[in-house]
Amino acid sequence: MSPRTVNDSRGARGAALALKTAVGAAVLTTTVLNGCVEPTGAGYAGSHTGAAIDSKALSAGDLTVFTSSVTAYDTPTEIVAGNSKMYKRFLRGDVLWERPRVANPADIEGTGGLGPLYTGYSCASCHQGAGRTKSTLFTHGGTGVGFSSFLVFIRTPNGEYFREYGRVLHDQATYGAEPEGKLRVTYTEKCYEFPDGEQYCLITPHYTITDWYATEIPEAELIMSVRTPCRQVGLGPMMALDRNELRKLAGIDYPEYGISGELNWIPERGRWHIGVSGLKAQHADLTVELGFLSNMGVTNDRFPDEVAEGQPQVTEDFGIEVTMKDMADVDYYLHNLGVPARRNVGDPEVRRGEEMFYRAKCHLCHTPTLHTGPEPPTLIDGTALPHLTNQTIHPYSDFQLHDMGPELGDDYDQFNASGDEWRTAPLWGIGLQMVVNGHMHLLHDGRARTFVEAIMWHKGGEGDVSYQLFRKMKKTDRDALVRFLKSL
Amino acid sequence: MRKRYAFKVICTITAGGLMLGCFDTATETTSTSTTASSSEYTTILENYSQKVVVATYADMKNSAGVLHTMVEAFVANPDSQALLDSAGGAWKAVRTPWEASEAFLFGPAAFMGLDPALDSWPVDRQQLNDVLASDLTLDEASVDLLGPVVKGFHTIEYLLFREGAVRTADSLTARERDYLAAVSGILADNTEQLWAAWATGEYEGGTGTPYAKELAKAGSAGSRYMTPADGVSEVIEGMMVICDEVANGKIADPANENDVTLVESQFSWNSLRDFQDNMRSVRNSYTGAYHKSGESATYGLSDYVKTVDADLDTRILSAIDDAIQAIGAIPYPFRDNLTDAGVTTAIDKCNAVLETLDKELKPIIL
Repeated sequence: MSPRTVNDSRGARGAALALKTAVGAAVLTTTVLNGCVEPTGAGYAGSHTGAAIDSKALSAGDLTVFTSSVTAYDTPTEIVAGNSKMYKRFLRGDVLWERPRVANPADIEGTGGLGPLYTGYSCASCHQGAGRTKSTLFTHGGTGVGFSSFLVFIRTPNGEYFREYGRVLHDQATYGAEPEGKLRVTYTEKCYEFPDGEQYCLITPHYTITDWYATEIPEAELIMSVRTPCRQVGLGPMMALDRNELRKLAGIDYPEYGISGELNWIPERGRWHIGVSGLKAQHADLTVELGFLSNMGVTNDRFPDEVAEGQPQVTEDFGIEVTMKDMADVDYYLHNLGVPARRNVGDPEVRRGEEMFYRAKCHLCHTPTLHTGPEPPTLIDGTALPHLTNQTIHPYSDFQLHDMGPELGDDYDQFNASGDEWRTAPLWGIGLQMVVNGHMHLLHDGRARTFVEAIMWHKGGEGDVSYQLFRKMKKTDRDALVRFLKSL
Repeated sequence: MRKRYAFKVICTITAGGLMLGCFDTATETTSTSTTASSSEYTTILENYSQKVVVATYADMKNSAGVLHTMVEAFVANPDSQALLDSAGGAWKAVRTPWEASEAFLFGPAAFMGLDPALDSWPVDRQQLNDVLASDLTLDEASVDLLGPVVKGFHTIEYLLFREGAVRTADSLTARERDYLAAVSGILADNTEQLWAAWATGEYEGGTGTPYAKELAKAGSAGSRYMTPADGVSEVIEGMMVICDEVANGKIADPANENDVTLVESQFSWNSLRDFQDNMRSVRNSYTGAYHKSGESATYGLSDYVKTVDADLDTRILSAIDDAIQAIGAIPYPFRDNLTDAGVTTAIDKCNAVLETLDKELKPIIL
């Protein structure tokens, strides 16, 4: 590790130049906001020049980062980047998260363990740029080549796992082994009109599993939930959320709008945890250990048995394939990713869209402002992260479960979350998904292809009020709301 | 991944638009300067897209075609050491534009998964050996289904080179030769797709708009970049990413661990050339011309910076040149000189470029 200076060299020359140029830009293009100048252009509302930052742009307080490029989700917070010891650990985790695992025995120590069954060959295969890789549902019609950027949870209608397959259908295998099955998807498209005549179309997926490794499971005896990868934006502040604030939120209902969130509670390691992680808030941690095992087939201290354990194709035992230290470093990396600042906060169209966001009652679940608590979150190895505490953050989520109606439901309950319930998706950074990952697929299985489609899927269930209100808006107002979402 | 900083500066302005001044806690200034209009940014982005990105990818696809042809010629004449040597040279020739493209791993290279497909590291030798030992038909179609860890530059490199030299023709098995032909063909296809994504817009999963056009149109309807400055930021951050990667990953990782297995391009010993071409990628992005094209530069970032702060422009260029030189000063081969003093110098010089781009160039773009 080279001595990468940050805080100590953020001094005179660079800052002076930043001053000079900020002034120049401000003269040519400014909007006046609360008596303070707001340079436009890159649109940080002053952010990286620091001028009169609109607090709304600071997505996560001190944990905000100012980048709008392909690296927007994959950038450490300043606190971490500015401390060589912290930055070194972050980088180590980053490499482990990004580097492909190979089949054992590996040439390079600490890179092996892939398979024999897996779904992705690295964390990054499905989370390109710490975001969500365009799913192979859309590029390959289901199971992909070398990795599948989705997970298929399978079980019986009684909620039991299949003995021959386990919890997840592993549709990839190292050479010579056989995947448990393959997923195919087809879509039916149906088009609708807004009252003003503009058309929108929604696609409904139909999933089937083929090429079963062992006993073929008839459709009637199979419950499956297909889920695309989550963006890894704001995982640190999410894990640091003030638990009391979340409990209070759970107690607030809006009966006039049919909205009533509840928390998921996860029994793990001998006690109950509030779940915030995962599409149904079904996890008590960021699932690094589970991810290594179940997604890449890499055994570890917490999950020492191969996912294919018991299948005849597990012929060799390589022992523990990733160390606790390595996994904790990945956990460290994930917790310390910054949250991209909002852009174009002062743009009049964006501001009007923000108003529409409130008018459509989106904010009742996509809560704009929360706080991280006074207690530091801890990593899987017990490392405490005090720098994540006491921040005002803008996740645009209440991290509660809401009934989204049977059309989005998957019949797959997890702890408190019923089949129709999902955790409110945090929207921070969502406006950069197109730059980071090159697609706009949204919702748990990516079936929405645009912001508008995602909103129109809120029909039925607790999102219905927003669906109705958005639907009735003028086109210009709908467009403004979308522009606001792009600024997140 | 990379790091970022925020400058804490406060500006005030009157309602009429007259600048009163900007200050931070340490300094105060009332200076003014020019800024780029959107059209200047658009020109920079147009030239960058065509003269740097498309030009680099065009060279890569042409060179990859040559590599594939050379490999096929060798496979047809498996006793010919001369043909195998030519294939080795052809591999290095494709490597140059690829490494010189690593300052723009955003856009299609990221979205289409082509970075892992082309440059996956490490090589999964266990799976490769299993495939070679099997009776799988080794043509492009079947090898294409094997996934990225047994394809791309380093798999080809492993099949062509050992200990820094091209292998002897008689040491390759028939299965290795067939595999080599298949993965070279796939590499040629992938480089063609990458070029097409930028140049023509015709690629698998594309929207029909060439990425070159979309980037140049930053700020207009239909571009994913909300403002022209967002487009320029993408370019600069792309440059920063590779500086960080070369300094703190490619060079520092094996040096810190003193572990030759972590060295990139370790079979061909092409590492130092790789790293230099990475830094040339930064220079090309900055000047607005692909260094191998032989074309003179058009209006690029450098020209714009010159109008704002000529001294900064000079410093950026010399910082990049210093870094390229410092990498060249590490004794060859890199794998045998991980603890050489020149390694630390090279790391520092690449980090110095990163620092200048981040703290001085980036803030100019508003």
